[in-house]
Amino acid sequence: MALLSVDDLHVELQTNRGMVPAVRGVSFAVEAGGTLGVVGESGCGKSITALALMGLLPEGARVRGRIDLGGTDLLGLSEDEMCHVRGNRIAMIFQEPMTSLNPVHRIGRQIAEPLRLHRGLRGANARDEVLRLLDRVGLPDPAKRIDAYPHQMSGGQRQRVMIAMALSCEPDILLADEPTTALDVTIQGQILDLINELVDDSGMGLILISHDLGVIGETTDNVAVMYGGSMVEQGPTDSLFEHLAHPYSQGLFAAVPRVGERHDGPLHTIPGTVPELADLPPGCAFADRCAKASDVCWGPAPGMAEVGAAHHAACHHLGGAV
Amino acid sequence: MSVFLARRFVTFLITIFGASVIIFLLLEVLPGDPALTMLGVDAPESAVKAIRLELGLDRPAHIRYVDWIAGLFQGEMGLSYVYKVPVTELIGQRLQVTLPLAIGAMVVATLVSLSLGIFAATNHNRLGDYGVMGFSQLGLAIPDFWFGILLIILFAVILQWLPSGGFSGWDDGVWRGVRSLMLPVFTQALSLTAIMTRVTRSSVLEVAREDYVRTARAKGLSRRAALWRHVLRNALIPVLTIGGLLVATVVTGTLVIENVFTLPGVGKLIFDAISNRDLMVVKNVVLLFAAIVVVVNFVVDVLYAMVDPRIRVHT
Ligand SMILES: Nc1ncnc2c1ncn2[C@@H]1O[C@H](COP(=O)(O)OP(=O)(O)OP(=O)(O)O)[C@@H](O)[C@H]1O
Ligand SMILES: [Mg+2]
Repeated sequence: MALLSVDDLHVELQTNRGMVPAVRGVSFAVEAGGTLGVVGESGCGKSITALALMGLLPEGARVRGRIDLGGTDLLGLSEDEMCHVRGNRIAMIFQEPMTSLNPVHRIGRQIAEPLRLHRGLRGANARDEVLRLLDRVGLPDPAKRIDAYPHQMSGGQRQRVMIAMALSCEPDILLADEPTTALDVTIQGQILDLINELVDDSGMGLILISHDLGVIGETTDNVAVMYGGSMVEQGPTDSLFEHLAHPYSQGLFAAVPRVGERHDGPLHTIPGTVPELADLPPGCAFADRCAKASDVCWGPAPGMAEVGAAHHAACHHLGGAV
Repeated sequence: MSVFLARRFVTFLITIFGASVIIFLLLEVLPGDPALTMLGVDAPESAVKAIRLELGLDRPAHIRYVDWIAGLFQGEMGLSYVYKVPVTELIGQRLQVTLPLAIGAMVVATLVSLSLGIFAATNHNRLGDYGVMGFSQLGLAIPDFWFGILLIILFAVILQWLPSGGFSGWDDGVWRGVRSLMLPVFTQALSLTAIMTRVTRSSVLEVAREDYVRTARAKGLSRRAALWRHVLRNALIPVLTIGGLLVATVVTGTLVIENVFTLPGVGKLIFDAISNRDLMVVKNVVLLFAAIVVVVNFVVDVLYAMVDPRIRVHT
C-alpha cells in the first residue's frame, strides 16, 4: 500500500466563464521514501494538483476523487482536521521564495509556528529546534539568522528557510512546486541537492513539480507528464526517459535544447499553445496540436495503456511508429 | 531610529517654516482691513490710523513676520484684535473642546472601520460584505452637516437623550462634557469611518491573496489564525496612510461640526476670526492646524517603521 495514493482526482475552478476543469482525472501514488516528478507546460494543472493535496484550492473550487494518505481520505476531512494534516503530515515548498515569507515577522518566529501548532513546542524549546532546523538546511550562522527578517536574506537563503519550515514537523509527504525556478542556476543545484539529501535521510515521499526535465531526470524515481489537466504518461524515470511513448512527451523532451548539441535552424517547439481550460477539446486534449492526430483522437479520450514495466501512456496511437 | 527621528524633526521645522510664510503672505494679500472691520467702514480716518498704530499694522510686512515668528519661539502668539486677550489663551480654551472632538472622532472611526472592514473582507461577496459596503457608500454620500442635523433631530429632539448642541466646559463634570460631544463625534466620524472601512476591507482582501498567507495556511494555521497573525499587520499599512491623511480632514472638518453643534472650539474660533478679520487669531490657528497635520504625518511614519521592518533600513 502506497503512502500517498491519488485516485481519479478532478478539480474544477471558478472563473468568470463559469466552472472550468483544471484537473481531469489524475491518478498517481508515492511510496515512503519515493520521489515523483511532475512535468508539463505552464498551465497544465501541476500547481492546482498540489494545492488540491494540501486542501488549499482557490475559493469556490470543486474537488472530486480520492486522496489517500496512510489510509485516510483527505477529501473526506473537515477543514479543522485538514489543519492538523497541513504542515504536519503534508508540507509544501513554493516557487517564489521572495514572496512566500511574511515580510513583517522574523524568520525564527515563522519557522516556530508549525512547531508550536503541531508539536506543542514553545519558548526556548521551539527556538532550539528552529536553530537545529536552520543548521540542518545549511543556513550559515543560524544563531544570527534566526532573528533576521526575510528582506535581509537572499532568494536561496529564503528557500532554505522555507524548506526548514516544511521539514519542521517531519511530514510524510513533501510537495515541492518548482522550488528552484526563481533561483540562480548555481543556487538551484544546491537547493535540489539539499532536498534530495533530506528526503533520503527522512524517508518521506517527495513530489517534485518542475518544467526542468534535467532536474526531474536526476532527482526522481518516477515521472508523470501532465497535459491539459490530465496525465498523459507516467512511469519509472529511467524507462520513461529511454522510451517516450506519448507524442506530447516526445514533443516536450524534444523542445529542450541539449547542452553541447549544435542547433541548425530553429529550436524544436510544439506547435500551438496550451488551450484555455474552458476550451479544452473533447477527447484527447492534445489532439489539435498533435502531429499524429486522426479522427479517432476527437472521439472518446484514450485510457492509460501499459507501454513498459509500470510505464503507462494515454494515446490512441501508441502502436504506431514512434 | 535616532537618526530617523532627527531627520524627521528637521523636515518638520522646514515644513512649518514654509507654512508660516505662505499663511502670512496669503493674509497680506487677502482683502479686508482689520482696522476697518473693527471700526466699521464709516470710521474717521484718524481713528483707523490710531487702531493701525495700536495693532502694529503700520510697520512693514517683513518686520511683522519676524515679530510673529520670534514670538512663537517664546510661546507668544500676540493679542487677538477682537477679544484683546492672548491668542494662546484663546486657543488653549478652545482646544478643550476641539481636541476631544477630533481625537474622539478618529478613535471611533478607527475602531468601527477596522471591525467593519475586517468583517466585510472575511465575508467577501456575501451578505455581510454587501451590507457593510452599502453602509459605507451611504456614509460617503451623506454630507457631514446633514447627518449631524439628522442626529440632532433623532437623539436631541425626538428621544431627548442628548443635548442638541453647546458645551458648557469640563468643570460641570466629565460626563456632561462627554454627552455634549457625543453627537458631534459621531457626526464627524461618519465619513471617516466610511472611507477607512473601504480601505481596510480592500487591504485585507489584497493581503489575504499574498503568497505568505498561503504559506501560513500550508503550515496548518486556520483561516482565522492566518488572518490575525499574517494578514492584519500587513493590511494595516495602507490604513495607516489613509488614516494619517484623514487627520487633515478632521482638523478642517471641526469648522463645520462646531458650527452645526454651536461648540466653542478652535473651528468656531477661526470661523469667527475670519468673519471679524481677527488676523492675529487666523494666522496662528492656521499654523497650528498645519503643525498638527505635519506632526500626525510624522507619527504615521514612526508607526510605519514599527509595523514594517523593511522601512527601517531605508531611513
Ligand atoms: N485561482 C484560479 N482561478 C482560476 N483559474 C486558475 C486559478 N489558478 C490557476 N488557474 C488555472 O488553472 C490552470 C492550471 O494552473 P496551474 O497553476 O496548476 O498550472 P501549472 O501547471 O502549475 O503552471 P506553471 O508551470 O505556470 O506553474 C491554468 O490554466 C490556470 O490559468
Ligand atoms: Mg505552477
